[in-house]
Amino acid sequence: MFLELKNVYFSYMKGTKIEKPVLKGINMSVKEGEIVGIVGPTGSGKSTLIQHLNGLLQPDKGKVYVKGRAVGETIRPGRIRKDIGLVFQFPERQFFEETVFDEVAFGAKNVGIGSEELENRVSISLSMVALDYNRIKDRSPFSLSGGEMRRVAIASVLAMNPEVLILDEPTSGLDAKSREEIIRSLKALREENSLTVIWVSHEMDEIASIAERLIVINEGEIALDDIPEKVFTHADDLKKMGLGIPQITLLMIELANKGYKVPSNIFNLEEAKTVLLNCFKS
Amino acid sequence: MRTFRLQIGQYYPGDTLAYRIDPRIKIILVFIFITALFIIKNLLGFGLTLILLTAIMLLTGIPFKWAWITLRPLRLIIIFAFLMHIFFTSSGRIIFSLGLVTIFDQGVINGVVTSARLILLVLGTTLLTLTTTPIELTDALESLLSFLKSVKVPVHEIAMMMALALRFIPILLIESERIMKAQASRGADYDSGNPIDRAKNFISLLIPLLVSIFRRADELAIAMDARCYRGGEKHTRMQSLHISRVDVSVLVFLSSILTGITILGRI
Repeated sequence: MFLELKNVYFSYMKGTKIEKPVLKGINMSVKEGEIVGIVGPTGSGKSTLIQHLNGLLQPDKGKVYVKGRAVGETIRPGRIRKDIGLVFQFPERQFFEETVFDEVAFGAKNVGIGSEELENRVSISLSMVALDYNRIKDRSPFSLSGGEMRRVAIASVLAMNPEVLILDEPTSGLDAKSREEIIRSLKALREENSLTVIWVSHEMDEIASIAERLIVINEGEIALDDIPEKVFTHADDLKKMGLGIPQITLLMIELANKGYKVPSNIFNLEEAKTVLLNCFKS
Repeated sequence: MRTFRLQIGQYYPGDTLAYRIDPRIKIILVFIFITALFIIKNLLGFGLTLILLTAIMLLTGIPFKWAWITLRPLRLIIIFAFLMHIFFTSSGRIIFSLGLVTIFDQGVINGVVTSARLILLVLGTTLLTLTTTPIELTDALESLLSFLKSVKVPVHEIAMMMALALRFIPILLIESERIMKAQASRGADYDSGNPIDRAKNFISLLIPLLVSIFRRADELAIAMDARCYRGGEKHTRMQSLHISRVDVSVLVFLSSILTGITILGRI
């Protein structure tokens, strides 16, 4: 198992009367090369959970294993951050360098990439997120558009050459076009580089089209952990948690309930179109 | 990585008598307390003050651990003040001498007095901030300083700025923690390394924090404008302050005790 959480508990403000338990006995694992979506309503513990995966937080109880090694015991938390790249929510808010080049190189330099290899790393990372190295490298990161900023921030984590890429709401606050671009480049990225990807979101429509497996978190516990089709059969439970299922899937389920012969594992418009046309032809 | 440290001036939620006393009374009491601390000069006085503070602390219902935590960031200053007095006072009897170092008994006494003063000062004022919300504090200050309005001091604006500054401390703490974590995820190391590397890493925290402060200030200004904020004139309050009989008795009772301690502390 590549990444594993065993019975993880975590509270903020521990030992005070305003102590707030956030994670309550999380058990989960991620296989190498998998693309996992973590969904949950606001305040469910998603962000806290992923901070355990790269050693930023350590459990009060329970253990986190990375490639079989217990974090904080057989491996220092700081050591795993190179292998497990975490892109925070609104990652462009951490920008501080004068040029895009320096911004992307920051992480790589920190993990000890020498100056000969640095340029290569930066240009590869920028092309991974579909940005033109020569056009963008000398610009100020603060002068870019929202979508470009987000992609530069993702590139700065990719430059460390991680084995796992964790993204916390990577499309939040972006317009539809930039959203699509990010999703497209991340999909391509995964196909070409066999990266393990963990994608945190509360947008079901978006995550359903990307993830091979969905982990639903509610109030610090794992509510569901399955392939998207199976997860969406619990539409009522998801609704109670304040989560939806993709609009298009909902339509398919409704049609199937009305007796039309359509599959319910449809998550995007293109597939739905084909299926519906076939259905009405026959 | 640290998560949520208690800071000086943090409010501890509660609902005992100490929380219900009018904040203006509390500020006046703290003022009397500070004055007393600087008049007291013997250990009896400091001892009695400590007992008084402990009693008040017990009545507030706040765990002692919290008072202790607020002292922690100041331990360096306290130790430094203590050592300064020990090494640089040259009056009284010599109690220790080795090479260049000569320690006089007056130095030790001065050191103890100064550290005791600092510790009690912090503990006493912490009691105020632990039991009073920042909003109450600034309202009280505005009310206490309102006599300055007659000489055209913008008291309301000053109180507003104070309230905003206080309000933003926890937000900026959370923000800086977030940025630290984000940079740590990009391999930055804030806890080890040589001083030059640390200073460089500090820039990666400072600049995003500054950007965020300016962004927040801008947004806040626009939000205030959008709500037609015009400052102090004709401004009514949601909660106005009232001094009750309990408030007056607490003021009289505690200030007489403090006066008594001060007199004993001068003998």
